[in-house]
Amino acid sequence: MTKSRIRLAAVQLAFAVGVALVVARAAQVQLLEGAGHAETARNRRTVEIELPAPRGPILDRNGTPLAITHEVYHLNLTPAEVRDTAGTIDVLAKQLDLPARVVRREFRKQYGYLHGPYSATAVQPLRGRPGIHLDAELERFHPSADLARTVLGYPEAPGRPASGLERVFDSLLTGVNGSAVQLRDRSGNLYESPSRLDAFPTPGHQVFLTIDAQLQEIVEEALLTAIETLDASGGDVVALNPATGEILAMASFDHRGQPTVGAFGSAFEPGSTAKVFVLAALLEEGLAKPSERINTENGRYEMEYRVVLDDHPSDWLTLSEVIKHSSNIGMVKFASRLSPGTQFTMMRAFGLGTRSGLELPVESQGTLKPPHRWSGTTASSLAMGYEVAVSPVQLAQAYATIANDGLLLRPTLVREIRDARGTTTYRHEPEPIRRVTSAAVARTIRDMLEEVVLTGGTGETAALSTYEVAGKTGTAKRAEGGVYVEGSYTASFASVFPAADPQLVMVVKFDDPESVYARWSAAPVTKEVLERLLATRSPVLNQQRLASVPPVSPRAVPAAANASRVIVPWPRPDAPDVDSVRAVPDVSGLSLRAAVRTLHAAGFRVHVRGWGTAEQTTPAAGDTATYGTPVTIVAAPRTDVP
Amino acid sequence: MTTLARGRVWVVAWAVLVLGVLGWVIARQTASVVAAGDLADLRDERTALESERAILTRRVRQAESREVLQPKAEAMGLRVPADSEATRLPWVRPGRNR
Repeated sequence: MTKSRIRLAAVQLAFAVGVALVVARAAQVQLLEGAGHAETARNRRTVEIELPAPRGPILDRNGTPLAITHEVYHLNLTPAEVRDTAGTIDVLAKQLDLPARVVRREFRKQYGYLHGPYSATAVQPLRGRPGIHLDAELERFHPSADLARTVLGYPEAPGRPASGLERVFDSLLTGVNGSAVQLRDRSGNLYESPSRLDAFPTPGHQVFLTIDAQLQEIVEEALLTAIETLDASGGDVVALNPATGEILAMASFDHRGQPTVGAFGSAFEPGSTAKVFVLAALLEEGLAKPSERINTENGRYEMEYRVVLDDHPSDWLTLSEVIKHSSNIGMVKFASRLSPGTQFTMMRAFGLGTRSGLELPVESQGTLKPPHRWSGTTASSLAMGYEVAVSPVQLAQAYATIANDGLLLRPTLVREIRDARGTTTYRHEPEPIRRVTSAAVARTIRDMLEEVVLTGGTGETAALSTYEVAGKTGTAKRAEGGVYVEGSYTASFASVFPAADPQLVMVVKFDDPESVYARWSAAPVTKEVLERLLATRSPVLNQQRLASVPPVSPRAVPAAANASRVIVPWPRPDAPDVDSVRAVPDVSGLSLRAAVRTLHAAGFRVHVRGWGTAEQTTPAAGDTATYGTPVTIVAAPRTDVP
Repeated sequence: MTTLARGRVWVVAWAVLVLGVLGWVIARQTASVVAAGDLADLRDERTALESERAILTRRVRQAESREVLQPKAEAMGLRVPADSEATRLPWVRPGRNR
């Protein structure tokens, strides 16, 4: 082998080794460490961002938004990036409705900050301007201001725990955040990259409440006005549909007009509104009849441990009259026929002393002592509505049982839940808990409660002149620290409307009103709410059923003597027979207006397609159709031939 | 055509093909970045409109609230009617047997 060939072989070997090293290093970089390097590169030129999912809305039963989520912004300012400082300050001040000096002060700092929060509309013209960086945040927004605020509550926020329905349905209302990748250049600027969207954000579920915004507004307004007028220390109203248990309105305020949780979160001694529970036990057990008379001792009755007094002394009263005049003596005497076990069981069956199961984070279960803890006066106290405490919701639920022919339903605040795509995932169906009384007993109680709201009854101030209302007043002494406070009362009125075909049960309660008796405080407010509700087009009341309710009887309230309900027969007697068939008239060639009039006059509904002159109809002219059948007019612009 | 000339044609053809594909890829990337920017603008605009809708909804709710309407109605001499002043019509759905 010559020397030159050896050198050539050495060079070739060196090259081969060099190439092998390069290949080996490439393999190491690409195959062994490739994933790591790719990740490093990706991190340098991309940023993963989280796309926050909007919280689901809360709406009333008709779809009126009560709580929604929208985006608001805080502004980070980098004055060093701004070239036209004066112009930018002017634009910011104008768009954000701020004094120019405030903006100027932020521009003197290295990094300025305007907290706001500012709406998307306000910051829209600021997007993309140098030196202005928007910091987006989702905010809960209440289009109906403070309506049903205690029921709705608030989602959790820094320094504030969640409350109300926002807390209970937090897991459903909270959506699933999405994520996306944005491109980043060497200067740190970000660019949108549609191909790198990892996951779309999924908004939270939509929660439809049973609340009717219109009735809620009526109730809140009436309650606030009454608290002020009556100089009460607070008040509550609960209105529900007895057939479904759906709460239609619920409001509580203190004397300053601040919302409270009184309607469901605190209990009170109901006084005479609790007499119906003893009444139900007496009737259900067959221990008394509505017409049975009892001696009411002319208003003063001395028992072994106590003296019972009546506000309106009388000698003999029937059971119906005991309820109508709210005689404590009569009720105590009738209740003595019940064993403690029977009395307790009936009150428990109406839901007293147990939580109603309302979908709220807090609820008072009230107080109802079992018979083994009763003292010698407990039975008579319970007959008058003392030594028992109920929340307004519990009282409304119990009265709804009477309105619902004796069937106790679980009250609810949630009517329907839909997911982000609009698919219904939950729809409330009435949830019967138990049968408390027979339907016959419930109807008898309703009849007796009707008497309360007639002339001479304690609830006559709630009477309407067109519909009979059934109800019961309750005026009870208020206890503070275990001692009854002289001159301090709770006035309440539980009502069923209309008495003949109940659609609404309402409990109105005032704490320590100036007019202590419920007939002068809670009952008139009930009437006011009902009158306002009847004057609206609210779908809460079934107008067709309402129109079928028999008119107020002649024995009714004085107001009814001068104002009778107007019943206009409908369809009118001279209206065409709705079941007869008739021929579709020929309207071709008529103007659209004339064609519509002709078809309406013939008893058809009209749909219009096109504009101009009527050309033909569907069904065609001459065809026969029944009253109210939709007829489509096909119209086209007139094309006159010269 | 000589072998050398045929080879140059092939090289040019391949070069054109490669440049064409590269140009196409770059054009698509540029278009996607522009589209992404437009999409972001649209998203911002939608957010702004939704925000405006929420604010307008609140104003409408406020304007039609009893708190606002009632004083105005009373100033015009109107009042909430008593229940005796409302007339309800028993309604029969057309086409149903009476």
